[in-house]
Amino acid sequence: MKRLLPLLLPVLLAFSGCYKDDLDVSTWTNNPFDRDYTGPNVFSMDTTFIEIIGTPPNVITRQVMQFTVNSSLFLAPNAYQVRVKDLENDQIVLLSQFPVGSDVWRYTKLEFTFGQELCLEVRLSNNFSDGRPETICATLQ
Amino acid sequence: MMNGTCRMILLLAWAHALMGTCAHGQGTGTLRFLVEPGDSYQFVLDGKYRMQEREVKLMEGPHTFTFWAPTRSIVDTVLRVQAGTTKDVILRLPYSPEYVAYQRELSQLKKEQWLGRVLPCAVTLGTGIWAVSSFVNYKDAHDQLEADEALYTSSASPNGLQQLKEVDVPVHQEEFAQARTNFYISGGVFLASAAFTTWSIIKASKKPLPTFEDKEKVKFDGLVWVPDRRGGTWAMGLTIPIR
Repeated sequence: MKRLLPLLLPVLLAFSGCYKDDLDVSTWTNNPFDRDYTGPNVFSMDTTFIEIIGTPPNVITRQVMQFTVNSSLFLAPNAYQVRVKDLENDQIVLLSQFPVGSDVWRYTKLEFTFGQELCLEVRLSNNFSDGRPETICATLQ
Repeated sequence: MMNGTCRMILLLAWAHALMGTCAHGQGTGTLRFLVEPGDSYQFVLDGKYRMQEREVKLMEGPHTFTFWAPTRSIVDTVLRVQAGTTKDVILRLPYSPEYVAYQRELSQLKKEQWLGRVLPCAVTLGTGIWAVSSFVNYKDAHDQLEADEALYTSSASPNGLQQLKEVDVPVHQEEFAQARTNFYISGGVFLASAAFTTWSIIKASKKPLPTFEDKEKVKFDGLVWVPDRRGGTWAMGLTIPIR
């Protein structure tokens, strides 16, 4: 038995360090970039307003919808884009951060109507793919 | 009176002449022994004298010799000594049947011990290497799953995350299960092999060693009665098993 122990010891140690396959991908739902994300909303509408740019006679008036991404929900710091779908005309645009580095985003629209609620379908986007869609709405007063 | 004296003188002269002739016929010769094994052989001369000499000087004529050496058979022979000459006696004592049998048993035992120890040890070593290799694969598979989990945390690519969850992780989980099964099998085989090796070694160590009884020595010792001051003693042999 004394001879047996040195032989069995490595195996016993190995068995004592057995690994368990306790991964369940169905519970992996806390990454906001995941399409199966089930956490709190990432997007929140800040405001909407009319913006006038240019100088007469070349003046452009447009509606701005400003919203924020809650990047504190990210599991790791990451750069990202936002894909916006205007639910009024189904137009889709890919936005970049404004200002760069911040989590404040702006969607502009030339045709607008006061008093009408405008809804956007927004998603986090990276590498030509999009995350879970969320809908944010605002009414131009 | 004178006639009687002359007859006596003639008788003495004849006797002297006869004795002189006889003495001349009883000259000595030498036998030089070249016996293998040269360092341990003994012999009994004419059934009376036990000696351990390389050279003997004897009266001429036939003499009986009984040679023996440890582990060898007794060899009886008659050697004729010629007066005034030295004769080389070359002799190789054959091994005794008991010693040959002992050597055979010893060789067989060594072979069995080799088979009972070295071979199982080699098999155990092989299965041990297999078990260690399987464990490394098992650990690598587990590390891969941990890496997948870490990648889910750090990744910001929706497509990458979907690929990870729907393809990569299931594949890695299958590989992990396979590696775990292999490890359990190889570990079990190694345990069984180690147990068998231990049993085999214990069994081999418990097997009694063959002993050698030099029966030829007993016979040889019984050939000679050695006298001493008190009248004499019997020579006896003591057999010590060679291990």
